[in-house]
Amino acid sequence: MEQPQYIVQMNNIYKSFNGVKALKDVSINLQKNEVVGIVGHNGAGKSTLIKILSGALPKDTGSILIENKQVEISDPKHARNMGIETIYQDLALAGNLDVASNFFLGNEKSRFFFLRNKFMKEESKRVLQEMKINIKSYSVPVDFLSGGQRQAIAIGRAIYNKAKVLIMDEPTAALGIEEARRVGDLINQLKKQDIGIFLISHDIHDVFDFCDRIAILKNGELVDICVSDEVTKDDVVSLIIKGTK
Amino acid sequence: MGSLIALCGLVGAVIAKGGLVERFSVGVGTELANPWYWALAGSVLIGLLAGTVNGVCITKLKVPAFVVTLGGLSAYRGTALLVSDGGPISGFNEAYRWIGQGKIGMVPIPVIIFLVFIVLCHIVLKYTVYGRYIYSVGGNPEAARLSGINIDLIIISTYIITGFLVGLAAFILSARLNSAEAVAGMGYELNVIAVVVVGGTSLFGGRGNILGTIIGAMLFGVLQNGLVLLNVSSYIQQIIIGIILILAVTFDKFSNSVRQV
Repeated sequence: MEQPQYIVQMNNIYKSFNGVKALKDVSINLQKNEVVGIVGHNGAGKSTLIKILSGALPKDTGSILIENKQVEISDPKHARNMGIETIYQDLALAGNLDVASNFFLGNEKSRFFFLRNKFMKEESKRVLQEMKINIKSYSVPVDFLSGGQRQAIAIGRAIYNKAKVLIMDEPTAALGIEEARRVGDLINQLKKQDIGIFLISHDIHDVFDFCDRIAILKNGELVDICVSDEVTKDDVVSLIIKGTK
Repeated sequence: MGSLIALCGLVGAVIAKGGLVERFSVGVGTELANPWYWALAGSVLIGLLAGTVNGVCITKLKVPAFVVTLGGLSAYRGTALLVSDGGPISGFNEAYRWIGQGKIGMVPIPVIIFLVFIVLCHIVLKYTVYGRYIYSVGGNPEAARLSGINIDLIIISTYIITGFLVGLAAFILSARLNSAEAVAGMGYELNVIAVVVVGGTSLFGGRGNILGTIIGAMLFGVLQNGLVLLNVSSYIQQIIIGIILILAVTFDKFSNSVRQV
């Protein structure tokens, strides 16, 4: 039988904040073309886990392997250089900047310190049009765009940076029904592009719609990882609440 | 950074006069122990140091920015008074004064220096990666951090640049007035805030530009001159400036909340 090709392996991760254990011995992995949902109550450790993978927080102990190579992720830029892109719940966009500036934030294209504004605008426009996202003006600050458009910018940025691993933290939480559906389509598109996705969501329907496997966290511990076709929504809800099916 | 202007100007003057013992040479003569560029270097160096201290306190020690500013306001003014013993240091030679009072053709030297720096700042802010980082850190520091930008470095560097410009301005002021004194720059803090806010800079961060600031400064200058020409009492002028500041910040707050709806 062929061994699964993991792009991410997080093994025995521990993390504490001032003595409070946020993660206890959590191990989770991700393959290409796979969406793994991470669910749990508030404070279950979901965000802490993805912040460790995205370089926003250091882990206390444990190991992380990216494409079977052990790595120490020092900061978000380091994670991004390794192909790990994160789309945060609060979008991590600078609302005062325009589409292109956000699209290339932290990864600006320049020549002798000078920004290549025209190039960046054209590239961001191209990628977003390929994603079938219609933005009337690329020059306005993104504060003036809808939640769906802003989410699309964050996803487009990840695609443009050739992400191998995409972490999506509540990608549809702040969106209306139509916008959420659009983001759902994008997730399905991404699955076909050799990208592995960690999806954090409170919405059990989203999790079942998009995820191949579901990891359930409770009080910082990994309760179970289920194949989504083999469990029911009630099973997962029961695991979230009680820790057992 | 009004009090830092006083301190930087005094340090420059002390260096020009050849040290603390020789500093009280009011009307004694204009011969200097050291050339003007040593005074300029000293003035700028103090500005750079103060900017670094402020930036490090805010980013690394996590002291709120307004506390650092208010603390600095008192500490730098006190140091300036200590250095000058409360009195002015005046009487500089022609080369020194030329920086503040000289002209090239019809254009005063301070105006030329001002133009050079506004062009430079405009280019840096609008066209460089560093400028883009400044706006992103101002607009959403967390987004900037998560995008891999070293926000502490950006914040410290902006304080250092401000310190440098304060040191330069202090030297020009002392050269223009042919005097450096501990009460120089009194109340400049509020004037600066009013000018930049009127010019479209947001006190909440991430918005503003050099052109707007120049327009703000011009409007403010016209207003101040107009009030003087209309023979309005200086007490009432202060009231008017205070009201303009409050109105400008109110407008900024209002426009900021409209953007977030």
